[in-house]
Amino acid sequence: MEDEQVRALLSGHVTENEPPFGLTAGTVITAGRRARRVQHGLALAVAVLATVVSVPVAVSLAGGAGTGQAPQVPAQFAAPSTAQAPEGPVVGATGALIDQRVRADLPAGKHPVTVTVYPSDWTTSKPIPDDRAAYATDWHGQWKYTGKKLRVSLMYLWPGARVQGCAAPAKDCTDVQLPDGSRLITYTASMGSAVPMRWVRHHRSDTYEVLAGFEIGQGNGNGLSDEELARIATDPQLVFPAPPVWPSPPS
Amino acid sequence: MTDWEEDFSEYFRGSAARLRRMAYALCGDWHAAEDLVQATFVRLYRRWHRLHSETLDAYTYRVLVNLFLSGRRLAGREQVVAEPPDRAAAGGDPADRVDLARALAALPRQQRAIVVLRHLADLPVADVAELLGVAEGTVKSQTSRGVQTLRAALGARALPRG
Repeated sequence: MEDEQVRALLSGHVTENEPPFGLTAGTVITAGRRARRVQHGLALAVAVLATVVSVPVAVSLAGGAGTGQAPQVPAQFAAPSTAQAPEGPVVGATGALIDQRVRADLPAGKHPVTVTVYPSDWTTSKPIPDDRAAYATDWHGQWKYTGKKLRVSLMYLWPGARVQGCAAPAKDCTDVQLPDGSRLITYTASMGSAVPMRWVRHHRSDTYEVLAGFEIGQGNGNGLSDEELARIATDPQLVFPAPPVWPSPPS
Repeated sequence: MTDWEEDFSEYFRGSAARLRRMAYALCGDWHAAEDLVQATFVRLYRRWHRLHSETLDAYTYRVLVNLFLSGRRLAGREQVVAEPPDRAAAGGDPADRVDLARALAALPRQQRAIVVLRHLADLPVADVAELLGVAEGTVKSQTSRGVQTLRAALGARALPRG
């Protein structure tokens, strides 16, 4: 009841004396375009300035004349924070680490192509905004390897999450307990994909697991073996910090 | 106007008035509220391609509240308002409005943001906690304190106990 009264009071407060809205979509878009131009201009200015100051520094380091002091970049040329946002398919430092580790764990000689590495959380099956990466409960990556799809997921588990064992629809499954108490579950499943995939799930604790899956295509000559998938799933460096706040568990 | 700018415009039309009311509850001034909304949408515009529809509202609230909490100076913004807004005729009891405005202004900024997000935007505790990056317990305790302060300022006529 009290909540409703607070709502009614606040709602009345913000509506009963509300003036006409001066902003329009057009004016905001105009301001947005201008902000973008300024942002790009600043980024260009930083690049130009970096080039200009790097020449005398290089001369100085090579023994030429110079003051010996590092050049000071004027404060007004500091890059805006948005210009530092990652733009590629791999999001942030965590995404880069995952990409690096997966590449290192794959057999040498063939070159994986990174499709994407992105943060997500329990509330969605899609990426969350990049600037919310610190709040991710899971990270997902996809690569093309020998022309087939490789997927890797790092996930915190919500309280009471059911552990996926060898129950259907998992096929051709083994569930092995490792000496450290973790479980290595290997199975074949479609998981929403038209093409079945071979999965290795390293259930490291009640709260964290890593999965590596590889597409099973026609003639699996270039496929990854269970052991090679397990090498990725059990990589001890495939971890990321827990979010400062946990989202609501999925319903 | 490009296709994505049409989408952006549609989102603006559907949410800007609601956001301005929320901004007004936060800052207590319609001009400043409009500044906050404009700054919020400019930021959305710059990141529009990277935003997802499922989390768009939450992201928008977060930008607005962060701009308010950071106390960002907006005085230097460009004047791009199409028409200067007129002031509507005052309605209701002026004494009540002044009391509530003062009571809200007396709340610490984060506490005010939590009360507004909980009771005006009607967000659940968990969403407010995630949006502000604080524990759910903090949201609950700050909401309770904020409402207590409002009750004390407004008296029993507005917010009876229990």
